[in-house]
Amino acid sequence: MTYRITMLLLLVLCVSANLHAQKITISGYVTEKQGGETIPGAIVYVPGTSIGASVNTFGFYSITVPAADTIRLHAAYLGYTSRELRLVLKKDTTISFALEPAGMMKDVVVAGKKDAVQHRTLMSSIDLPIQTIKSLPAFLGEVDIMKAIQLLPGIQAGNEGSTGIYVRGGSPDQNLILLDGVPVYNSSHLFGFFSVFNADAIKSVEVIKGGFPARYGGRLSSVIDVNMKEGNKEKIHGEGGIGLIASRLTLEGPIQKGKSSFMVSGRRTYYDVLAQPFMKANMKAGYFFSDFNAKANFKLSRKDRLYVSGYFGNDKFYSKQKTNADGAALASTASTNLKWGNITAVGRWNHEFNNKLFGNVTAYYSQYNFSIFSRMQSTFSGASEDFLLKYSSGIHDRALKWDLDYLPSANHTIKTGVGYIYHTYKPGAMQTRIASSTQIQDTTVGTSNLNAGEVDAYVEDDIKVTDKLKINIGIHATGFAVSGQVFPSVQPRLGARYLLNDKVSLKASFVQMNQFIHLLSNSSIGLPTDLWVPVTRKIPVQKSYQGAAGVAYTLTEGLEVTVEGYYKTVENVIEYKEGASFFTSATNWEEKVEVGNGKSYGAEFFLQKKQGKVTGMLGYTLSKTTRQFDNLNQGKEFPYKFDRRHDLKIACVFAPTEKFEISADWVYGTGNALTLPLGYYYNPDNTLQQINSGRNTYRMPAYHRADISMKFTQQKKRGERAWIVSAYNVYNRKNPYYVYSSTNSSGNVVFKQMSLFPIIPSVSYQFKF
Amino acid sequence: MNNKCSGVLLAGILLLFASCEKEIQLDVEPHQAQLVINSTTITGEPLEVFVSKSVGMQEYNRNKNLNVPNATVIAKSGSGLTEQLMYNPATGSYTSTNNTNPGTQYTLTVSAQGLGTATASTHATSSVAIAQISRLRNVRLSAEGYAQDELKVVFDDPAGAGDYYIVGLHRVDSIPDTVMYAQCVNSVDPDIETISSEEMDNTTCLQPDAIFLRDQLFNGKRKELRLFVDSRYFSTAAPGTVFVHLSHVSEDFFRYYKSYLYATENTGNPFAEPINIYNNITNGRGVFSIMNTDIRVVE
Repeated sequence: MTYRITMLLLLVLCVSANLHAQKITISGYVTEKQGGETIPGAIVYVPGTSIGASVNTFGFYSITVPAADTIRLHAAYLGYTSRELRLVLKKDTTISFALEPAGMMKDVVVAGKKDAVQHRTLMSSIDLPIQTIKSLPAFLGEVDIMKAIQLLPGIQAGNEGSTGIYVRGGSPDQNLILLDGVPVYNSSHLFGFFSVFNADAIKSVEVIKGGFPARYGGRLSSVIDVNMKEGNKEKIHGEGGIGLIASRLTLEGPIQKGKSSFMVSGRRTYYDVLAQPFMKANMKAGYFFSDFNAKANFKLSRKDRLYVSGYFGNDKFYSKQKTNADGAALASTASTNLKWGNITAVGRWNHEFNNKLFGNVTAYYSQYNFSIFSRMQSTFSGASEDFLLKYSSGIHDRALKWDLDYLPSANHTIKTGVGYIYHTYKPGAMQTRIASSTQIQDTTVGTSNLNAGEVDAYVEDDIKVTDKLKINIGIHATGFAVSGQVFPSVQPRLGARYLLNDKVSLKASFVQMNQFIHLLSNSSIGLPTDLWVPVTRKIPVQKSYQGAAGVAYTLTEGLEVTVEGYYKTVENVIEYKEGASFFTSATNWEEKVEVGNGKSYGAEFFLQKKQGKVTGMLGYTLSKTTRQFDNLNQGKEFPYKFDRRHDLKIACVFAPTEKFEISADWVYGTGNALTLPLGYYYNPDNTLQQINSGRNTYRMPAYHRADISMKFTQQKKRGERAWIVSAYNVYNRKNPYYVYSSTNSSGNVVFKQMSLFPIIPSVSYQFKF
Repeated sequence: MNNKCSGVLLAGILLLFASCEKEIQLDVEPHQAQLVINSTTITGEPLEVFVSKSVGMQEYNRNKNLNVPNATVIAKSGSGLTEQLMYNPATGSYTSTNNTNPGTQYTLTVSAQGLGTATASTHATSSVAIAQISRLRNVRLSAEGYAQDELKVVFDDPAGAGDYYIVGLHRVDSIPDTVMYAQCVNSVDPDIETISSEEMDNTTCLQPDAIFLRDQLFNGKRKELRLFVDSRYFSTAAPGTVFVHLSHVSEDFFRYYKSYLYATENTGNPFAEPINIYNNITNGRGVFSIMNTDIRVVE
């Protein structure tokens, strides 16, 4: 009996070994032919089979195929000419593809079938090509990634002009915004009217709003994964633009041809420079924002690559005034600076251990700081007085991560990793100093810095169960330690795709997400005073559970439709107490907020045309989002401020020739929810008391707007020149920014709305060389 | 020329950002007028009740009188005494002929044509006198570096949980009708509740005319409340008198007054969420309370 079992086991092992012997692993990189940039998201597959793999963030792929006399290997990505190789392989090998952008060739296939939406396991995610973003109408001529993301279904803009996004009923703090894998804590400039991402420096944008793979964690509602360009490895190349409010310049090129490259990009507004000539000689005041992106990558060996990148962004208001009253002994100097901005710096080292195992070590630093400096120095009849006020708040992160991609067979893609983040929260400290001939007083008030440690680990496997069924199963574990307390969490993730036929698939997902930080925000417009704070005993960990199901369908090549439904619950979200805000006298933030729960459910329809002279997208969302807090609205459930029952967006780009392109978009959304005063009565002391409606019971008028843009391009000897003429809010819709009550001349109370932007035409000039 | 160009460009940019305001019609349900009952009667005195009505936002006019002079106001005491209060046109209030008694429960039923019937109940609080007031000079410095005196207010809390107090101080100057309040009072007393119910430390600015205490930790015991007050408040050049008042109030009034002050503190703050203040009137608005106040001079 034992003999038989032993023989059987030996037989199984022999067969198994034989099977392995008959398989070959092919690995390599997919890059852009002209500049050598990697193409994350590209697909490498064997036509006529279900064998294929996606290229990872660093352009690496690995697939295992049965040995055969001849193998056809196909690489494809949207916007690029797909490429096919016929290979005769006897052993594991490395094959890299260099794809050519489709615009450079006529009559090309720009996407392979395998990268179509119905084939991907991941649902609720959209790759937004940077070229599409750049083609859409831009506010004041400034191409904005976050505003392009707002055109996707399930993603809503908050207030007019704001770059903040509300994903499936979540708040802006619940979005993990990554730049080269580093969290960016404040992604907006100028109170949210512009985002910090300079489109010229960006290579790719991926938006995930549900069905999160296990490798992502730390936020409840979305992941916006933005990657900077690596730089052209072959030749120096540049592009730039001059707009109404800002100008920008990007340079990229090889450090060592074919092996290493750099990219630097800068942008700055110049309102302050334009306004200065109109100011009095004794006055200097202005505002500007600036961005600087830099990246370099080095091919250290055949198996090692190093990427180093950084972002430095600033917003600054400044004013300085000197007075010296004639004949009087009074002289004074008053200066005020408000400054806020992000810094990110990251180093990533890739190592290909073998053709099935790919590793990446990341070390990064991210900071967001806000500071106020105000000083008034005066002298009067020889006596001097000096008043100084300083305020600063912010958050700093230092992190080390190690990620591995392991592709053991054609049926598994395993990703795993561990990481540690050391957070330093600066909840706000204010120093006042008064120095005069009679007194010196120096006071600092505020909460001291708070440090927290976060350990993350994850493992996920993208498993091909059958030719039709693929599942992505994973787990993300976090331990967050702050103020002597540890908050552990284990978050399961599951996604599945079932291919009905080559054009249609069904998808479903269930995810749990945890968030260990909160954003104290005053107004939903992204003020620099918004404060990141960690979980505490009183303010617990935010949690969400999201289930989604949908259909993905490719009608014809390049024309995709997805329909998804979702149901999401959130726990431990915070809102300011009734009457409280950043400006109320309470000093401890924990005392200003209430903790509650919420839910959101809805259906999303998305149609995307990716090829042809006319490209574009249409998104519609029907949704409902509510919140419930024991101490707000008498404990009753109420609509979330940005609950939007209907949300429709259409964007279209028409490029009849290479010299002319026209684009337009139209957005419509149910008005924001608001609380209205309903009546008055008198208090015992005869003061007038307002009666308010239930929280967010009423709606502002609906929001709708159309934008249009035309681009005229000319090819010159030394590159490309383009004029872009665009108009924001073409039909001059007066959309409500906020609504308030006011007494008119007859003494009656009426409602008034404040609108922000009328029609805004703009013109900008772009160049490439 | 350059300046002209810059000027045109700047004007253009400013125009682009110019906001616009317009009157809009919102589909707001018409407000159903409600009875408003306000009474802050002093224990031992006759009930005095002000009856008015609420008015819809868009019907409100500052010149409109909202008093309701033709209401029927009936007071019923826990002892079984029922009395219809009479309207006094001179004061605009309804008053009883019987005095209120400490510890007695009172229920008001108010009805008026077109406004329905509203009811409210409260108990008349007992008299709690200030047993002792003392002041120690220059005991510490405030966060701003100014000298502060310690003011100790002592009183005896009656047995039985659920007593609520509002302590205040004000200064009356020799100049007629001049009342001055201290800007801030500090304390580390754990029985104090701030208006916003935030945690307190010795730098928290307490509103001097309304310091809220409940007897959870000193039920039935002698309470010594220590307050730190700016020394200059007691020693300005102009002669004046500083008074301490101790009000023994119902829980309803305690909650009403806290929410009222909290709402007042945030009036005009565009970022603050609107607040509906606490009221203890069923089918109406306002506050019904019978309280007791003791006032003493700080020597």
